[in-house]
Amino acid sequence: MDEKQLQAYGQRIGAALSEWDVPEDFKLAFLELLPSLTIDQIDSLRESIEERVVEQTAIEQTSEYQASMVELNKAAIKDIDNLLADIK
Amino acid sequence: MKQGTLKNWPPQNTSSDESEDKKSLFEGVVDVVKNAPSILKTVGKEYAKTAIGLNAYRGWKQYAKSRTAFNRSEDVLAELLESRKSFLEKTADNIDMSGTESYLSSKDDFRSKLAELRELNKSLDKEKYADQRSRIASVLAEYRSHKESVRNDVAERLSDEKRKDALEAGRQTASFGLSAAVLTGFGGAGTIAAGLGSRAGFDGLIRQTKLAMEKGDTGWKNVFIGGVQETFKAAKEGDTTAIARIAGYGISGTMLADAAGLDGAIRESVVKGVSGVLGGAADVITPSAHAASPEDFMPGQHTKQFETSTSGDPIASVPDAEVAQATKGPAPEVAPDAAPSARPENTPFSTDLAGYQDPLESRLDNGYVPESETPESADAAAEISSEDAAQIEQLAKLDDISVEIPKGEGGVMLVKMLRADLAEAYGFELGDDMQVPDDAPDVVKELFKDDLLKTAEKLGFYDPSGMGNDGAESFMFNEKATLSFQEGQLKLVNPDDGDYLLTRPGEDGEVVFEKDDLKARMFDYERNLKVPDVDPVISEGRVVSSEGVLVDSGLSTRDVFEAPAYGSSRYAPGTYYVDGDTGQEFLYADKGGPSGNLYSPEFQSSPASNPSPLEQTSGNTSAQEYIKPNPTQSAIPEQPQTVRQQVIQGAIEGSRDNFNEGINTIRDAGERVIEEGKTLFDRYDVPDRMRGAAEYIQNHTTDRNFVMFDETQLPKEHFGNVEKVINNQTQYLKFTTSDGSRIGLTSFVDPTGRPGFDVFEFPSTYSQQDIAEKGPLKLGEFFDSDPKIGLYSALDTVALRLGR
Repeated sequence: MDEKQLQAYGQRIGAALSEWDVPEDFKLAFLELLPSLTIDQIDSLRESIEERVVEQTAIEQTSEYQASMVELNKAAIKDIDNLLADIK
Repeated sequence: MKQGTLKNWPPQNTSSDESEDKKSLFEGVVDVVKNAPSILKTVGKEYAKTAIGLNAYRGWKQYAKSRTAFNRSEDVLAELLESRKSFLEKTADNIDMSGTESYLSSKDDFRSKLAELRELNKSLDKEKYADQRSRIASVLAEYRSHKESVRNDVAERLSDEKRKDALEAGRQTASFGLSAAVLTGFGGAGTIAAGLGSRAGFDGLIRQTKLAMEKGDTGWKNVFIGGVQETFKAAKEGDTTAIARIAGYGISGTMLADAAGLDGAIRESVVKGVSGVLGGAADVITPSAHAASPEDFMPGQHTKQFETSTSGDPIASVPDAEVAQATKGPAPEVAPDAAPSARPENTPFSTDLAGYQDPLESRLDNGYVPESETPESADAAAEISSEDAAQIEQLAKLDDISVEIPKGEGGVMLVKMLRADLAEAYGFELGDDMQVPDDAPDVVKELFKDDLLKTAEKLGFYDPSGMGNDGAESFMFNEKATLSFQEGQLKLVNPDDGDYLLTRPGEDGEVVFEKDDLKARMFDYERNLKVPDVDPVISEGRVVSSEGVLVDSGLSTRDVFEAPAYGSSRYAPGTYYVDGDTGQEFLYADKGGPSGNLYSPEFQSSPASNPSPLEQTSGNTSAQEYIKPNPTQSAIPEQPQTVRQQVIQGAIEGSRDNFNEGINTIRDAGERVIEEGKTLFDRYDVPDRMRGAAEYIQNHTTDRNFVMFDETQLPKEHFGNVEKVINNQTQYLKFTTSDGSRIGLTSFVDPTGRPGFDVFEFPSTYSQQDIAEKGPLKLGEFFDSDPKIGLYSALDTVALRLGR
């Protein structure tokens, strides 16, 4: 595998990680984990993450999720505003 | 609930603030992306200006190479976009865009607020404001928990059928970005596409695409730009000291494996691997402290990890808290009524009609008085039938139609935009079953009488036998121009070149298109060049670098090129393409499936029977063979510095690097082309000779397939001795010098009967036998779809050879 192919492969992993809605630390952990795995293991993990991304994307495009998140975001913004005012 | 947590959840009736405009962190780079097509067009224009009339074959090929590379990526991207668009069109009815708009807006609001909170967090001293930082972390952790709960709750409520549809949509969305991310032929394109699928992902893509569709697809480039912005932002945000953060956050392999839904051997490997990483990381971070064991970083130990963190990243405490919260146990339950199953009535959706005014009302409010309502015409007005009034009202809608021509867009897109606006104004849906209302003005009906391409052609905006990659050409416009209606007829308003009526009423009241009058003045004659369709010579043995330099006679140091988009079926993987002019050789190798896509289904469905490209290129060798021990992290077995660097670099920075490289390559190639054109221009005394030849031919030719002039009268000072040859296979002009040596042949009909202006030149290397066996060496139609221009160019070539 030459460097370009490796980078291309990495790009796909990066794309999957980028879409995966988990804390950044999970993603960083994954990247740190890569060197200790075989290519097959990496590919298996990548596939699992991509499946999660598909499920996640599927749910996120439902009106139910979006409506709930609208309200959750509103609530979070209000709390953050209060917190900012309190701390400042 | 303690202060600092989401006490406003479950939701209250609130209104969301307007989100602030985002500023790109990489505006300069984005500008380059935005301008990439125009850079190429500029290159094409400059080259055409400089090289027209020259024997530009060699310089042309330089341009053609860079253009081919660009086209390849452009074509692949276009295909992806078309696929995506098609999917969206099919499912558009199922997408609640108003809800999505509201959702995305609230998401932007939250991100904006989150950024504000992070800024505050940065300013707080860790020790002095530990409590405040803890509260910030707590709010964010609880937000994520609630978010997960919402997601799980929705997932549980989805019916099987809806889940199936949603998964298919999700797969389409996700796979679009994921597969696009590996486009390596043009780094920028890959990056852009990756951006679409990653950060813009579902939200940006759906939102902007749908909006763009509603506006007639004018926003595709903005979709690109947005994707790039988001991608780069994410890359920048991820540029942290990973090991230190991981050690501080107490990530466990179990959590990662759970999150990814792993089981079996891979799960064990992940758990073990993360533990090893964490242990090694702890050694790195706290070299003078205790030798941390992996268990120190397991769930429940997070407090200790916070103490050991020396990342120095002030933002780090934010995800710290998220993870810490997640490790404490089950996520907080969301109240049953906290996650409504349907959109609340009070959600401020974009369907709000506040501010909207009917166009007719608007006209009346602005002082418009229909002629029929003036006092003088009151009686006449009384006689106007309701049918006439309706027609007047329908006609008045045209006054509100005005389409701005987006920079860099072609004529077909413009017509599409126009039709979208018309459909909206006259209340019908675009599509195969669209029904233009009977009472719509005739010009509207005419604009929908045919399909999009045909309509564009009738307007003179599109040439099905033009110069584009597929043999057609969508013409470019002055970006300052607009399309609108004047007295019920379509017109082009061009600030630099006057207004033109594109349609007019015919004698019998029918709509007549005026494209012939317009075409010569409004289109861009200097548009991109067509890549010549040159047959390759296949040989074996030598290998060259990407710059065309011979580097080796074996395969060990080869550079691998993807099979080109043009004639790719002829370039089988493993074969060599030898440039007939330069002698440069290129090895083509398949980078994946038949399409060259590394992640084509062939590699997804059955890894066993279809080894991945990784395996193919490494001889089914596992990564372990590439792994070398890393002396700096002894706690991690077999640390493969090379693989590690390359993969991580590819994951985080590869896209950005490739993108810059792609842009620079294109720019450099363009500059070289221009420079070469100038050199050629200086080398030959072109203008006078060219003018003489061109003027003569211009005065003696009529149309594409017929040449009126008598070849024996062609001025010898320009053409030498000319003989017209006509047989049952072809007809051409044969040019010879005074001693009978053949200079070249210009054909007007090729052996297949297709009209064209192929030049049979280079007699010393390309004989009649060659032509018979391999077909003509085609220079193509040079700079314009006008056949005469191609002919001029071909004859100029001959004239120039005579002049040498």
